[in-house]
Amino acid sequence: MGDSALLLRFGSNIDPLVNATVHNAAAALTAAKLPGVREIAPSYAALVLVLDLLQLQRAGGVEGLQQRIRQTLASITGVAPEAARSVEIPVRYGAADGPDLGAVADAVGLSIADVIEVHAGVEYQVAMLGFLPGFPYLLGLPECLHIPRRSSIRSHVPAGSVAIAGAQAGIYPGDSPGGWHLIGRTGCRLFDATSQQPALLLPGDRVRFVPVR
Amino acid sequence: MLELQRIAPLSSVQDAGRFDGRHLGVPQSGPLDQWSHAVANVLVGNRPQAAAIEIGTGRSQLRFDAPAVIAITGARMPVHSRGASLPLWRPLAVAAGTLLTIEPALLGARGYLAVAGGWLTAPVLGSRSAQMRGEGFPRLLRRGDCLPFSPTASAQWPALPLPDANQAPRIAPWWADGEPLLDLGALAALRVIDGSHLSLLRDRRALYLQDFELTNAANRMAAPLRGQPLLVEDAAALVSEAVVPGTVQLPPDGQPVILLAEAQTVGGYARIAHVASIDIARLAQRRPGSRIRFEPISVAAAQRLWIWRQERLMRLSIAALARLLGR
Repeated sequence: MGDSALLLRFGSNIDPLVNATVHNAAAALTAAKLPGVREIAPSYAALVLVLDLLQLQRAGGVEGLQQRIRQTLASITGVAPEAARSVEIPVRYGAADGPDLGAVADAVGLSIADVIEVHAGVEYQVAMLGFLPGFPYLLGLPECLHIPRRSSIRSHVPAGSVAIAGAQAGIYPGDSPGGWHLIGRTGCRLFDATSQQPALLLPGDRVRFVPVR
Repeated sequence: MLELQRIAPLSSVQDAGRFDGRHLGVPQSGPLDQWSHAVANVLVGNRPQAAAIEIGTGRSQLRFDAPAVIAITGARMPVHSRGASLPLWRPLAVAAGTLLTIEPALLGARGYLAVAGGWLTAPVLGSRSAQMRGEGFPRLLRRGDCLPFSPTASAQWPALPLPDANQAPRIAPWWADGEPLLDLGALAALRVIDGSHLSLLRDRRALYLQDFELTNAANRMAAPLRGQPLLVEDAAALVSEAVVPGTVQLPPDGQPVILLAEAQTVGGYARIAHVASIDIARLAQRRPGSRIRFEPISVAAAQRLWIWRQERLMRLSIAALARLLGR
């Protein structure tokens, strides 16, 4: 990927097993402390290694790195990492906190209570963080809630908004524009750069939404 | 302290960037023109990664409350103090009380002001770099801000003694010839490496056989271009994955967008190309309305150029230190 990053693809679609493989590979490669690699970051079906070319040249170049990567990845499987944390996110659904909840219910042909029950009834997997610092892309949204993103983009989505779009679910970490359907809001702080643990959720984490009043 | 009595819009403190947060969705940030940033730093005896001020387009008026060794590089911005004009790409020793005026650039888009020891603002997530998105990061500079620096770091260079209070700046009799790498005058030819979705283009020659215009929507995140739209076969099913500074994305309107230092970490549009790292500085010095052309380059050639550039920077750094030490 360009002259200073390597992209490793593990599949070509959005799939929890492929994504689990990505997280396992990212963990193994991070632990291997590969010389010449500055950063490793996972996405749905791939991970990126950002390179320091000068350091890499001293450590045997790109070929040497590719060989080290192959050795490190030889034992990787798609099984969910045991170390994955489980995080509960309290959500106030509907009303001002989730202005699109009614429209979502109408669009998918469910009652509002059913939408909440379905959304809060499954465990999600943090596929990757992106878009904004700390924004989790969640895998696991039940198919009956898949609806296309909003036709217009809201200029202001408040921090903590719990949202869905297509097969994706997410939480807005800070006030920002956004085109997803807002169905609720959490009081949890998803990202604070000045905190010891800047992001509440990490790639690979398991997430459950818990309805609160 | 440096008091910003007036500061050009879109100015910020930038070190080499954040390399701890990509997996958390934290942009790399750092200077748009890494070359000018690094050269400004090595001229004052710093590591190339030290924090310098990225100065946007506009007028700045800066007051030093302590003597300092500084250097200004990048765009051709007229700099003066007490009526005397001061050179770019050259170490300067300024006295306590110096008022420095930096005028809008005549050529190029942004400048870098480094001080010996670096600007000592508070690091966040391992970096002093400002970035616009995400809670808790340093933001753009504003009038009235005061930036701390270490007066002792400026006092350590025997060959460039600090002037007494209210004396005129002392100009070092040596300089770095850093501007040619930015190629400021010419149409910007950016060398690009094939992206993994280049094959989706109906006619990939259309990427190389036209001039694009840099639009005025450009910011620290991205440089959107305007040209004959590039048509793709079908990009609907792409899965979002990593993007890095230099990635050329193609949104559905067919107008390429070059991602810059503060770009988000993942993207779902077709990634048709990646600007060679060495040419990102050249792009960063282009103003809206400039013409840009793409030329293909191999990964290996682009990597050789970058290593050549890094080695050149190291040699410059050693030479600058020797001069500052009077050897």
